[in-house]
Order: sequence, then structure tokens, then C-alpha cells
Amino acid sequence: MKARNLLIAAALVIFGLAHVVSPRLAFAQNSTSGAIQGVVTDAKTKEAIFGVTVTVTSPALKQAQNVLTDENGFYKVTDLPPGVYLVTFFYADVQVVQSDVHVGVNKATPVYQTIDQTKAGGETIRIESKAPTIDPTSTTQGITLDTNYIKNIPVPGRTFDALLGAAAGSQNDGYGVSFSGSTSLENQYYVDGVNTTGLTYGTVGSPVINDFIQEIEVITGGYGAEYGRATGGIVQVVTKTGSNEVKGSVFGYYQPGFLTAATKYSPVNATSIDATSNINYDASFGFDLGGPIIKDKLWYYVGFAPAYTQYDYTRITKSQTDCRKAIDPTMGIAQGTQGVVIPGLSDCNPQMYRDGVPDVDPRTGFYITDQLDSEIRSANSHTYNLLTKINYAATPEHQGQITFSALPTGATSPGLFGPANVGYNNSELVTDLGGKWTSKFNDNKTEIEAVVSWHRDHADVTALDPTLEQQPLQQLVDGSLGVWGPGFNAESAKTNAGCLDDQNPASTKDKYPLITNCPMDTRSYFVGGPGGIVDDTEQRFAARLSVTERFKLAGSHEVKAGIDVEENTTDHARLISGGETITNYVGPGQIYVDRYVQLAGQQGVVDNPDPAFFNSQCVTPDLSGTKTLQFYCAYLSGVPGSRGTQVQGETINEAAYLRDSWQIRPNLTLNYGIRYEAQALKYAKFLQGTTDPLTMQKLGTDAMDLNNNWAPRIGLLWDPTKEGRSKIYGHWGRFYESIPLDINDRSFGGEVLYENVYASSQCGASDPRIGGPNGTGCMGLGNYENHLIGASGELIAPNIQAEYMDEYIAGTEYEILDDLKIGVSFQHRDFGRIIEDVSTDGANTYIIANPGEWSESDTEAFQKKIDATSDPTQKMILQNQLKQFQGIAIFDHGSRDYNALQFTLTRRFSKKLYVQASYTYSRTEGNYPGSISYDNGQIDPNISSQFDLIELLANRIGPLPQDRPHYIKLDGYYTFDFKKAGALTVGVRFRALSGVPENVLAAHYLYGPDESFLLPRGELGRTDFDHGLDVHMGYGKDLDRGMNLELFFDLFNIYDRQGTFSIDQTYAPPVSLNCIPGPGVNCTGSPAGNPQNANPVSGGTYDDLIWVKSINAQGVETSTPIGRNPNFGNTVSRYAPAYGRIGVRLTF
Amino acid sequence: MVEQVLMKETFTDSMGAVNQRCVFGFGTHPEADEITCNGASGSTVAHHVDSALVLVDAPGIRVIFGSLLIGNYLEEIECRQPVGPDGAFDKVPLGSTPDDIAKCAVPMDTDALALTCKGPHAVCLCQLPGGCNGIAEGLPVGVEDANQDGAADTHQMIKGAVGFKCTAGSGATATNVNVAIDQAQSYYDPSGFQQPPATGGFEAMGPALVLYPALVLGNSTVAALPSGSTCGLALDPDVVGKNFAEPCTPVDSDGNGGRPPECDDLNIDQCPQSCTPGDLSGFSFGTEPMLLSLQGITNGQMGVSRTADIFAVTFDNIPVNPNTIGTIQIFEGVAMTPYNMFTVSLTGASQMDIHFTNPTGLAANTQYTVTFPTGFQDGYGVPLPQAQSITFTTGS
Repeated sequence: MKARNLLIAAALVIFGLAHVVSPRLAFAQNSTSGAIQGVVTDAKTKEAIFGVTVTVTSPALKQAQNVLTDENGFYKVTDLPPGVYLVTFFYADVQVVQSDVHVGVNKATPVYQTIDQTKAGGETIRIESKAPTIDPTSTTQGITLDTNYIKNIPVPGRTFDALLGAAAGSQNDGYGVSFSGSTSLENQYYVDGVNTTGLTYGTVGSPVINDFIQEIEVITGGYGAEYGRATGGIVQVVTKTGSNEVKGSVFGYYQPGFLTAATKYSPVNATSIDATSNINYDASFGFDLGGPIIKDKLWYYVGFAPAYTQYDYTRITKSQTDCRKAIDPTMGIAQGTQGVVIPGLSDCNPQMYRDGVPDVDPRTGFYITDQLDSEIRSANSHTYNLLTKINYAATPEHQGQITFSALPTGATSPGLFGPANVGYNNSELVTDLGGKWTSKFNDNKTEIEAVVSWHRDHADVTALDPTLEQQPLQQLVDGSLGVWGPGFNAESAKTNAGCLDDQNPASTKDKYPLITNCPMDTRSYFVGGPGGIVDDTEQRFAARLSVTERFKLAGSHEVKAGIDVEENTTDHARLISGGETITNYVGPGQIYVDRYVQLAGQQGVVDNPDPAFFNSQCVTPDLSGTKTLQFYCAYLSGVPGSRGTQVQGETINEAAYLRDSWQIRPNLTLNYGIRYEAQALKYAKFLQGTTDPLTMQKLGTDAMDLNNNWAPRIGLLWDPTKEGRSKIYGHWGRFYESIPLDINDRSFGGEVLYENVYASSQCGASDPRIGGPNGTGCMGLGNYENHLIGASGELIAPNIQAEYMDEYIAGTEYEILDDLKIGVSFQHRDFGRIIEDVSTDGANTYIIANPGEWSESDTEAFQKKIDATSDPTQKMILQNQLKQFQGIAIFDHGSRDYNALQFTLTRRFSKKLYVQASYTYSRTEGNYPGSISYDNGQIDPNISSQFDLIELLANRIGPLPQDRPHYIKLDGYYTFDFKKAGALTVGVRFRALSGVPENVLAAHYLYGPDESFLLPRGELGRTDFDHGLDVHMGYGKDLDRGMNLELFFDLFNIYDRQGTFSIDQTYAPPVSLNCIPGPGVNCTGSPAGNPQNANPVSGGTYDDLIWVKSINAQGVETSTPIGRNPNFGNTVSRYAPAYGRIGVRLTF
Repeated sequence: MVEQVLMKETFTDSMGAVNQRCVFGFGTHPEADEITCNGASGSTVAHHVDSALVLVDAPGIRVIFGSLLIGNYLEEIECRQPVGPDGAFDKVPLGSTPDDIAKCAVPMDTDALALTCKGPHAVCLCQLPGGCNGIAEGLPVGVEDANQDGAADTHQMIKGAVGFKCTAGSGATATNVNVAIDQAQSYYDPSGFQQPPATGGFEAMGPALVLYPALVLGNSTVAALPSGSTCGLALDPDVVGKNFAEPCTPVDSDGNGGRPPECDDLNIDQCPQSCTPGDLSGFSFGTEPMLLSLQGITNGQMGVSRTADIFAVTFDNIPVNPNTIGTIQIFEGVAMTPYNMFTVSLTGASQMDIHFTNPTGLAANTQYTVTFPTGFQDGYGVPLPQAQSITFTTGS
């Protein structure tokens, strides 16, 4: 806080100085507006002209803006909404007009003008040349997308996030669009100046529908000190605004199932159920309308657009076979197809080829299967997009805006791998309310902008079938669909007949009597309730205040200072249907029962647990693994249907900045500034004041304070042409991460799972529906092993500091022709420090730390704390902590190096043609992809498993999942003007990119699947180069009374490539997950084989995998070679199939 | 380059009791004072081992390398049936990948197998001129893969690839023993790293050879080393790293040596080899002497029973050479008159127990002396370094 106050004080001093030095001001562009600037000179003498009146008008601008050129002929008109402008220069009797001047959000459009004073005489000179599109004052990288782009480029999505991939250096990472080597969770999203970034993970919080959008600015790097809390990109969405003219549109889009190609099938070995999804329909329609309430004073804008979608999941059941044989080796190897007779293999011949072993396709290594039945289960969703906006202008200098948007959604998802009614109902309501006020004071010498906003997102997930809401979810593993299907009455008669195992070798009912027809070895079957129930609310209350002032001192300065503060809160449910989840390993004969508990404190220490927990079933768990600490626990109410409890998380973000854009000369600008950020992450409310299980100290309010985050930024730009047609620039900046609230829930919310492990024999008689005891029978019984997951709590390294990234940019842009500019830039980004949790005692205790950062001085500082402690127990605890903290030093520093060379070509829309193209050569390498752990699919920013154990770091350095060396993007459209007959616009969107690096993963005996990098990251190369082409065709015709009707057709992925998006990287899966020997349980003899846990082969190559030995369930290396996942390397997810979308739009 | 050797030794603790502990017998590690292995704790720094356990139990002798070895020269994989004169295990051609193994593993019928298991990387091809149970020479019999996941279920070490060379005594009386390893129990694991406190501790460090010596006793095998010997590692010249250089042992890593600083990261494959390829002389260790313990009597005991089953001697740490039982001498009386009425027999499959019985009974109040001369040998033929005697006196 002190630092921030200093910064603000400094800003005020500068403003005071500015007033003394120069009374002349201009105003900056900001998050919802842009600017026009330039120099007016005499055509003959080339000297600057003082006192030229510059007037800008536009349909986007409610009232004309006027400024005068200064003694250097310089002018700048700011606070201009994005749009196309007319700029008029008045000097003496000369009037010069430049039209078609495009202003973008957060950009200054250069309009340089010469005036021939000899032409005085009232003549209006209309300038044919276009204003350059290069912003000579900004080093930002990125792209601006206007309404024409949105309308004419085929974009595979109806909300703004689908557009973001147009920026060079961006890519879809499966969770959103990531920029410049980061993950998509590291971006900040602003809509009309309101921060709408998702609070829990950092996703897109408010996906505004494209039809309501005026312009989008995507900043992928090089941003100034007014931007922060992002190590990815900044997205600014400006929605449409009402003006003095009534304008609006009615629109509709429809994507029918018959215009969608079938999704390519990706079978999974050793499962008897496969499912693929195909869209049945996606329809949206709506309207928007804007106009005056009071002309020149008060305007409105309203948009409403419902959308309905249905996906059909084609669910195939299949049985393995025991009668196929290769009959004609000379036929060669053809494309195999699951579920039919494979060319080169016989028809089924039980008499000759039945051998009691399931048949395997020699070409794929997969079991050969017969398709039994096919069923379609549908998922439906609806969304209602609502946007309203009121703009008010008290005077041209004092304007305000209030925006309200709401996005209620609902969805139903059926169960796929189990009965259909084991599914979910989702409902969500996202609302944003923002108010903005801009005032210019002192004869327009000072501009103040204030924004207050409230972002709220509430999500509910409940059981699809309300009668199951009170039942535990039971996950059945290692069994047979032949038992489960008829048992739960969830499969068709055909499936049940085909899966029947009647144990009689001479059976006539069982097609393959010697084998288990329908094993479920690699896929679980789900019965019972829905499991996790969601009742989550996240909110952001934010306020920003900025002051901008321009003055002269060795050139022109535009100084901006601001502060902003956010209170981010979550209220997350900790609910499980029926109070528990059950994992029933039917094959090995083990049952795991998991429930939420709360640690009520150390034995003998009374705390006040969350009242939602109760003690009637409380036992003292075996915590021998947690060294000296013993705890009581209290179960979260295990009463079926209990609402459980809520965990409140809170983080306060504060920031202040001061920056100057110093135009040393009209064509030379130095941008510099500094930003200060602080984050205070708080414990859940019910934990505050209780005893920390690890430190034995009372927990305070704040769990982690990240202060002193100083982020300097500096950039230099030079325009050799001196008329805004080029720039050569460089930029350096430091950017701090804003930690999403997931960490509050997981680490500072006291989340503890209590897991009871039973031998199936302990849980009662065999349930014929399951083929083993029902897990619900275990409750209340004695068990032979307990685990408390998360009971050890998390320490926070005393020297922890915020995660940050440094960025360097150098580049140039040049407008080689009117409307056509090219650019080349180099961008480098790297993490200077990351935050992740680590364990230095073999997964007993976790420390949230900066991996690799613990020094001797840190030890000395902590030792002083120990020395100052007189209580022997506390001293011992601190000494143990010190030992653990010292272990932080051996962890690798987190690294993510992004180096990119970008070539861009932009031809703004002119002469019926628009082109936006880029080629990016980039490498993203390191050991830490960022907030998303792509390799195991975990999204827990800053507390993922990636750095948890030292052995998990081996082989992690290499090309990261977002490494796509080559990326080509081409967007464009051309309009064929048939005059009165209308106009046809053809747009294309082409993408070509390198494939993803292929990794080789194994299970870790404690952590489970895909945690261990068997080989160095990317050792097996990458998937195939991929590409796709989308086409838009729109026919528009002007109607009477200024209306225009447009019919359009979008065709996506026109050659239906369905390339590989991700592959199965699991080489050695844990076929007997967490198997622990107990009564009646012999892990090494489980039907599915031995545990496949394995440690990394440091620096190894593919051939080394033949010799790797497995780690057993107790973590002990064995002499047994690891197995191999037959599905390894196969495609598991693809890009969308070809599909078409039709639409209509009436604008007026 | 061999980085460390983790093994067990005996030591006498501060209370005078003989215990076992894990120790780095070669090389060291910054956290070597926290060694534990298989439940045995060691709180000691690395040092030269002079009393390595003769009976090697879990986790075996772990030889940890600084770089990866070529597994093809160390292990072979199990086939579905014997493929050659040595049985059902077959070597894997150099350059084979898991995919090549899968091609020879998954198909369960010979016709399908022939479709995929071919080419220079095919494995488990019949090598018997007369064929292998109906499969002609040169055709695949398939990799043993009961769970049909495409990987071999079982490996074993290649005979002769790895062993120990031991020497007992010195000079002309020195006994040299080549110790084979247990092919089934020993293994090579390329996985592992150099960074405790990883879970698994020092026993997870790798890449490593985990070795169990094999002392063959008739139809059984005991994991034992020669007693009272100085031993070293013996690798077949075929055993090489992935750079095709033979592993070696740097001299200065014995005892308190250590890895060079550039190896202090997770990618230990980058460690340079600072010794002459094939030179393993830097690593040696001594083994315990033969340890005798008496069952039924104590040395010097008075009033010993004169009944038939008099007593037994158990060699705690190694089987004995049955051919040297006859060298045991028994004397009666203080005059040490040779006494031949005892029946001396080696009992038990482990060949570690010698029973002394006398069907006629011993004389009353008489001293007997049993001497194990230097001609008495352990199972490897290593003689006792010096004769050992037991004396007792019968009761009335």
C-alpha cells in the first residue's frame, strides 16, 4: 500500500508540474476508445501551421469533436469510439477533408496533413489518400477486429472468444485462446472497460455474442503500464452503442445436423462402450436496437439473442470376439474398422478358431469387436444473451455509460458410460453491471475516467434425475458390461444378449463362451447419483480511476496515472450427492469411499468447525504419514441429500500505475511507465481464527500476500516516414500474474478428502447387478486403510513472491501501399519466477513456493525466527519446516521461453477487399506450460501437480504443449458489387499449423496417471501438420428505408480434415490404480495385470522403454517390465468436422 | 560411468551389536547421510565397504550409472515357447522399439503373427533347425504377452552380461571366483534419477543394474557372494552405454568422491565419463567372512547332553561346500584324540546347516573339540582364512 501511495503521489506531482509547464492538453485513447493525431504543415514551406481547426465526425460519434493544432502543427483528438471518421481541417479559407479514417480501440490513427495556403478561397479539398493504419505511438502487438470482420469472415463460434484466434501468435489450447506462448488462463478480458475474466480459473467470464460487438482489440504483447494482471494477452471488447439515429438489426443463424459431417470415430481399446458426439442443431436468433432517448443527451442500446443447441452422442456397444483369424496374409494391411470383419481376417468361425483368448487385430493391437447396438443420447443447452446500455452526455465534456448484460444458460447432459439418467443439469447466470464516467476539465486540459463494475457468475449443477440427487455416485471399474448392463437396466436387449457370459463352454446363448465378451478394462461405468454437485458463485467488485494529462517538456508528454482495486470472491459448494463417492474396483476386489471432512484441529485443541460438518461419525484417522501431528476429523454431513457446505474465498487485488508517452519529436516516441500490483489471498472464512494443522498457529485473515510487484514498461518508436506510414519499435516489460481464485478454494479452503479403503469382502454379499459387493454397503463398516488427502495442509514459503514474466519485442511496420501494411516483429517472453506447490518430504506436506528459490539468507532469516521461539513444540515444528523449505532449492525453476518471429500483412477493407494474414515461427519451450497442466488435463493454477515431487520434474524440459513452430493464418473477404442487384461477399479463413509435441507418460504410484514423463518432453516428435479452410458467402441487398437484407452461408473445414488435436500420451497406464494389498486383495495378481507406475528415463529414447521396470503400489521398484497402452499415440480428440451454417440478417 | 553402488554391509554399533545398514559402497550423494533401503537404515556417509553382506537380500546390489546403457545387451525377453538352445528367452535386436515388440507380441495366432513380426527388428524367431513346436526356423513364435498389451511380460538378464569377480586370499593361495548373477531376479532399469528426496529414495536412483548373485546349489539358487573376498563388478564387453562406450568406474569416486557439478541436474545423461571405458577397477568391496553360529551348545559349554542329536553349526551367511564337510575334524579329550564316531551331515536346501550326531552317545564328562580347518570352504570354494574350533564338555 505504501508503494502504491508513493506512486499516486508521484503522479500528482507530475500533474502539478505539467500545469505549470504547459496549459495545452490532449487526451489518451483508452480501453473503449481510440484517437486521431497528426501534424499539419504548409505544403510549400513544410513548416508547421499553428491554429488549424481539426474537426472529426462519425456515425460512431455522438457529437463532433474539435481541436486546434499547436505551434508544432500537432493535434490529437481522443476519446473517440471505434469507427470510421471524417476529418476536416479548417485554416483560413481552406477546407481539407480526409474521409474513411479508421479509429480502433486503444489506438491512435495518424492523419498527417499538408495545406496549400495559396488555394485559399473557400474551396474544399478532398484528400483521396487514406490515413495510415499504423499507430505510431504504441508498441502493442495484436489485432483489431471490427464489425466487418465479424460479419464477413467465417468464424466458428457465435461469441467473441471464437474471434480471438485471428491474432498472430494466438492459438486454441482447448480451454480458450492463448497468446504468445502463454496459456489461455493467463489473459484478461474486458467488455466495455469492465473486467469480465472468469474468477476461478481465468477463463472467458462473459462470452458476449458477436452481433452485439462493435470492435475487439486483441493485445498479444507490448502493452503499457495501464494494463496488468496478465501474463498472456489483453482482450478489449467494445459493444455497440446507441446514437442519434435509430439503428438495429434482426438476425438468425442455424446449423443443422444434416449440414454437419460425421465425427471421425476414435475407438478405445478394451472398452465395450464408445461414444462420439455430433451436433444435431445449433440455432440462435435475436435483435439489437439503438437510438436516442433524448437527442444529443441520452441514448439506449439493447440486444437480445436466444441460442439453442443439441448434441447427439452416438453410443456404441460392442463385444470382443473369439473366432477371428487372419486368412490371407497376401491381402496386405488395409484400414481396419472396429465392429466389422476386418479385411484379411476370417469371418467368425467358432469351430476352427475359438481358443479362449480375445482376438486382436494385428495391425492396431486393438481387440477385434462386434458392434452390438447403437444408441443416441442427446444433450441440450440454451443461452439467452442480453445486453443493455445507456449513454448519457451531460455536456460534450462530461459523459457516462451504464451497461448491463445477462447470460443465463441451461444444459442437460445425459450419462454416457452408464444409465442415461446418471447425468447432469447445468444452469448458470452470468451478469455484468458496469458504469463509466469520463470528464474533461480545465478547458479540456484534464481527463478523468472512472469505472465501477460488478461481475457475477452463479452456476448450479444438479442431478438429471432428481430421484438420484440423494444417492452416491458409484464408479465401477474392471468388470463386465454383461453384468452391469442388465443389472442396472441401462442397456438394450441387443447389448445385453451380446454381452452375456453364461460360463458354459457349450452355450448357445453366449456367442463367445470362453471369453468375457464385454469387459470394461479401460473405461469405468457410472451408476447412482451424479457425484459432485455445484452451487457456486463468483463475484468481482471493481473500481478504476485514471487521470490523463498532456504537457510539453522537451517534446509532448501524455501522462496517465491510475489506480484500480478489485475484490474477488468465490462461494464454492463442497457437495457430493449422497455424501460420498464410491470407486468400486470390481476386478481386484477393492472399494474406495471418499467424503469431504474438515480437520477440527489438533487432538485436545478445540476449534469451531464449519457447522455443516458434524462429529457423530468421527474417527481418528491414521496420520502416521504426517509425522507428529494427529487430528480429529469431522465428516461433511453424510446424510443423503445433504447440502454440504460452502467455501468462501476472497482475494483483493490492488494496482497503481504511472506512465508517460513522450513524443520527443513528432516521429519519435518514448513510452515508459511503471505499474505496482499487490494481491492478498485470504483463507476461507470458516478457517480464519482456527488452528493451522501444520504450524499450530491460529490462522489469520490473509493466507498469502504478494506485495511489491513492480512492473516497469518501456518502449521506443520511430517513424522514419514522418507521416505515420511506418514505425520501428522496441519494448520491454514485466508482467505479473493474477492468481485466480481456484487456489483459495483448494489450498486456503481447508479441503480435505477422507478416503476409506475396503476389501470388497468387507462390504457384504455380492450384488448381482455389480458382480461384487455394492459399495454402498461399506458405509459404517470397519476398513483396513484410511487416507486423508490434503490433511497435511499447505505451507507457504516465507519468501514467496509473485509469478512474473518478462517480455522483449522488436519490430517494424510499414505501409507499402495505401491500405496495405506489412510488419515483422520478434517477441520473446520468459518466466522470471513461478508459483507452484512442491513437496520436499515425499508428498506428506506441500509448500506453495517459488520452485528453486531458497537461499542461505532465507535460511538465516528463518533460523532467527526459530531462535526467537521459546516453546519447544513450536521450535520443533519450525525446525521441521525449515528443513522442508530448504528442499525448495533443489527444484528446477519454472521455465517457459517463447520466441516468435511474426510476419503480418494487413490490407484494410478498401476497393472491396480485406486481407489479414500472418505467419508466425515460434518456439515455446521449458518445463512449465503455465496455468494449465495440459499433459494431465489438470486446471489448478499455481497448485498443479507439475512441481509437486522432484521426480515429476525429470524430462519435463522441452517443447511445451503450446509449441507450434509454424502457424499460418489468412483471413479475407471480397465484395462483388452488383449495384442494384445487391452485393455478394465471399470470405475465407485459412489456418495451417504444426502439430502438437508428443510425450510419453506413465503413472506415478502416488499421483496416478500421466504424471511421470518417461521420456524427455517431445521426444517422439509431433503430430501431423494441420490445416483447415472455412468459407463465408453472404448476399446482401439494400431495401427501402435504409434497410439491408443479407443471407449468408458459412462452411467450415470444407474438406473435412478433422485433424488431430490431441493424442493419447499414456504409455503405461495404472491398470490397477492405487491397489493396496489387504484382506483378499493381491494387487500383483489382479486380472488386469500389474501396476504400471514408472519413473522417468532421464534423457531416454523410445527404445529404452522396452527395459523400464514398474514401481508397485507401495512405491517400490520391481523387476517386472512395464506394460504398454495399445492406444498410445492414437488420436483422442480432433478438430471439428465439416459443417455448414446458414443465416439471415436485416439491418436498418 | 558408474556413479554409485548402493549395498548393504554389516557393522558393529555403539552398543557392540552387529547390525546391517545400507551404504554407498561406491560414489556418494549429497544426502547420503539419510540412506535407507528396504527398511534398513544407515545414518552414515559413503565409504569403502569391507563387510558387504554375503547373502544379498532386497533390494540387491544397486549399481547406478551416470548414463543410459543399451538394454539389448543386458536383458532378453520371454517368448511364448523355447526359441533356441537356451530356452524361451530371446535377445532384442539393436534399434528395436516398443512398437517392434508389440508387432511380435499381440497377435495370438501364427498366421497373424507372420503378418507383422518380420524384418530386422523381429524378435522371438525360432532358431532351432528342427523348428519350434511346429513353427519353422526363422518364423516368429511370439512374445509372451498374456495380457495382450503389446509388451513382454517377463525379462531376464542375459547370461554372462553382468557378474562379479571375487578374490579370496592373496598370492599363490588366492582363490578367484567368477560370480554369476541370478538372471531372473536381477534386472536393468533405465528409469530413475539422481534427486532424492524423490519418493523411493536412493532405491529409485538410476539408471541402474540391480544385481543378485547366484550361487547354484543343485536345483536351487542362493543369492550369495563368496565370503571373505574382495569383489568387483564384471561386465561383458558387449555391455555399453548408448554412446557405445563401455562403462567404467572413476577412481576418485570411491569413498567420498562424487558426481561433477555439471551432473547436478535431472538430466544425468549429460554427465561426462571421466574414466577409461571398461575400467571397473575403481569399484571394489570386501565381503564378510564365513560366520558360524552354534545351535544347541555354546563354545566352551560344560555339561552338554550326551544324547544322539548333539548339536549343529549354522553358517549364517553362506552355504558351505558339501565336498569339504569331510575336512571337519573332531577330537576327544584334552589330549585331542581324533574321534570318528560323530556323523556330520549337511542338512537343508540352503546348505548352511551342519548337524553333528552320535548314535552311540558321547562319553561322560569328556571334552570334545570340533575344528573347521582352512580346507573347509564356502559354496564358492573359498576356504576359511583360518581354522576355527569349538570346544564343549559333556555332562555325567
